Formats: sequence, C-alpha cells, structure tokens
Amino acid sequence: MSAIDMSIVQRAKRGDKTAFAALVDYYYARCLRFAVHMLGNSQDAEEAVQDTFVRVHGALHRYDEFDRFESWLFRILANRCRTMMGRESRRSRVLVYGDLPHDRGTPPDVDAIAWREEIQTALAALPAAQREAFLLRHIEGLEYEEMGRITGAGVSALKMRVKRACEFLRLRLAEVERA
Amino acid sequence: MRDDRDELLDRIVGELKVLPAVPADATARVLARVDAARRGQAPAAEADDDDVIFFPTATDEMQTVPAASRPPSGTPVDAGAGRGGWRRRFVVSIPVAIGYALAATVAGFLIRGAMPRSGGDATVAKEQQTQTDARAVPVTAVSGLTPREYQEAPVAVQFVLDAQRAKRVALVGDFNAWAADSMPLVRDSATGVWSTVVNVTPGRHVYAFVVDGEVWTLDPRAPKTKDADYGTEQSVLIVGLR
Repeated sequence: MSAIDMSIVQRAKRGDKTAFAALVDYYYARCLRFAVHMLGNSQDAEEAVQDTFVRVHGALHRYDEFDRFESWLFRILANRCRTMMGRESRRSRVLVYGDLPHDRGTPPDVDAIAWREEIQTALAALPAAQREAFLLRHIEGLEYEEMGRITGAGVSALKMRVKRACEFLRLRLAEVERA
Repeated sequence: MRDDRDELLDRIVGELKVLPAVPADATARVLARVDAARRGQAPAAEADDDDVIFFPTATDEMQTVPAASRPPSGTPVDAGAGRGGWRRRFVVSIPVAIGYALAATVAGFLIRGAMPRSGGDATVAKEQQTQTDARAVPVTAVSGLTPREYQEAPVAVQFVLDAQRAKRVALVGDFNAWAADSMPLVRDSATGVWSTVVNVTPGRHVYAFVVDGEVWTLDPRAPKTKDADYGTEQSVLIVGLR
C-alpha cells in the first residue's frame, strides 16, 4: 500500500472532517491487522484501533510533517497496543479461528485453517517486543529507522528482535510442517 | 526488506499480511467518538499519545506510571468497587516506598493495603470487572533489631492478583529464583482475589505471576522491565530501606 496523499493529512490537520474520515478509511484495515496480531483477538484490536484514531484526531495539531504520517500513526497505535497488553496478557493470546475476520472469500480449507492457527499460535508465543518488531518489519514493511521512531528502540536491537522472531517462527512452524 | 526471508517465512508473512475485514461502521464510530471527545463526553487525546511508551530500550529502565493514573505520592488510591468489596490500592514507587519506610520508622505503624470483604459499590466499571488486577503492596512490621539491621531487614510485601477465573496462581521473582511452585497465592473465596505475603529485602526486584501453571502475567499497577537475556517482560518492585 502506498503512503496516503499528504494533502489529505494536511486538510485533516486543518480540521477537515471529510479528510480525517478518508484517513481513517485508508489506514483502518492495516491498523486492525497490526492490532489483531499484537493483541490476539479482534475485540481488543478493534478497541485499540478506535482509540488510536480518536487520539490521532486529538493530536493531529502536533503532527510534524517531516515525520512520515504512517510512522506517526503506528507510533500511537503501538502505544495503544502496549497499553492494552496488560489486560490482554492476562488472557490467552491464542487466536481462535473465526476471531479474525477474513476478506478473501475463499471456501473453508481445513489445512489452511490449521496452518493459519499454527501461525497465530506461534506469533502469540513470541515476546511482545519481538512480535511488534516482526510485524512492523515484515508485515507493515517499515524501515528500521522508522521502527525505531515507533518503538523507541535502537536499530541494532530491532534487528536482533526481528531476527529472533524469524528464527522462532521458522523453528515452530517447520516442526508443525514435519508433524 | 527481505532480510533473511526464505520460502517458509514468505508463507508465514503472506498469511499474516492478509487484511482483516473492516466493520462497515468503523469510520462512523471513530467520528462519533471524536465528536463526543470534542463535546467532553469521552476522554480526549492525551498529551503524550504520540510519545513512545513501554518496552524500554535499556533493560534496567524503570517504567513510569502514567500521570493520569498516578496518585499523590504515598497516597492510597481507592480502586473503586470490586466484585466482593472495595479495596485500597497502592502504586509502588520509590517515593511511596520511602514514604512507607519513614512512616514505619517514625511511627512504628503497620502499613497494609486493606481489603474489606463487603460493602461493595454496585456501579462497577466493566473494565474493573473483567480485568485481572494485581498489585504488590509493601507491608512493614516493626521488630526488635538494631537500627541498621532493622533498616536492612526484609520487608513483608503483599502480592495481590485479581484473577477470577484462575485455578491456581503462583508468584515468581528474583527473590525465589523464579520457582513457580514455591510461592503459591491463596484465593479468597469471597472475592476471588489471590494474595500472598512475602518477605523481600530492600532494593529492586523483578517478579511476575504464573496463572494456571502457564500464563505469564504482569502486575498492571507496577512498572515493567524486560529481562536482559530472554526479553521476557517482568514487573518491578522497589522496596525502600526502612
């Protein structure tokens, strides 16, 4: 997904409600995907994303246009997810199939469902910081410098988190495939 | 972007990249909440929303209790109603710990988080009903030690976890070598709240709860840090000298 037209961000910043709605429309699915993977259930994820956009609206006047809007948005979203993780961590993070709305419209495939569940289980088993770094890097496609601005962590630490996350996922899911 | 991706990782990433379906009213709900916030009917954005929080880069870094939830130093905070009664909640921090120490030294009082079992308020916030809640509360007891021994003696700390559905809860921390079977919490049958009191030496400690033998649970009221070697999150307790 390409970055949003900055004129929309500028209009939203000036208080244009239609432009803000366009921002929400544009980024909602991506934010929801990140939050679902971070928090492990769609209800908490929805809450985190809704909170994020309300907070984005309230903080738009502080948004510095030298910063990529996407990075800024994900910083707020990541904060919301982290804040909610206290609650979330007290429940199982394993995503139950059917919890994640799916828009591919494909017929149910038992193997695909099982594979998806295994991925979600492995992802949920990652330490939160590694999961976050992995998602920002490989799913959201962000550069390490941007990830640093989002997470507050250094580039080398983030690279290590991503590397460990990849190793863990590979190991866990290779075992599943062999079984 | 690919880093060290291979076929397996590509398949994992491909699965995780699938975008979820967005509820049809998602944007409308955001706009309604924005309007409500503008009218003062809902919490507005906070000043530090776009500052990075949590996951400290320095493994030993203390987390700061958010200003919005921070009580005046040393002041017990009414946690609101619980299922079985009201409780006092203490946020453990250095000033608070020092406050406890001074209070115990000067007055020799027993300081303890109170947990009456009845008289609850029926208007319980949904979050408070559903959240697992935990806290560590220093409780000090005066004994006949030399001033220095007294000052450095272990302090009784009450660890509390509100885990209504848990079948068993254990406390693990650097003070018990992370042994999950050495410090079980006891459930209060009236409130469903789990607790235990442990003597902890003054200083900085890290701990967590293990629920039902497998769910690693942090104390939401305590600062968090990360284990330097494994990256596991832990709660932080500061016990001040008495």
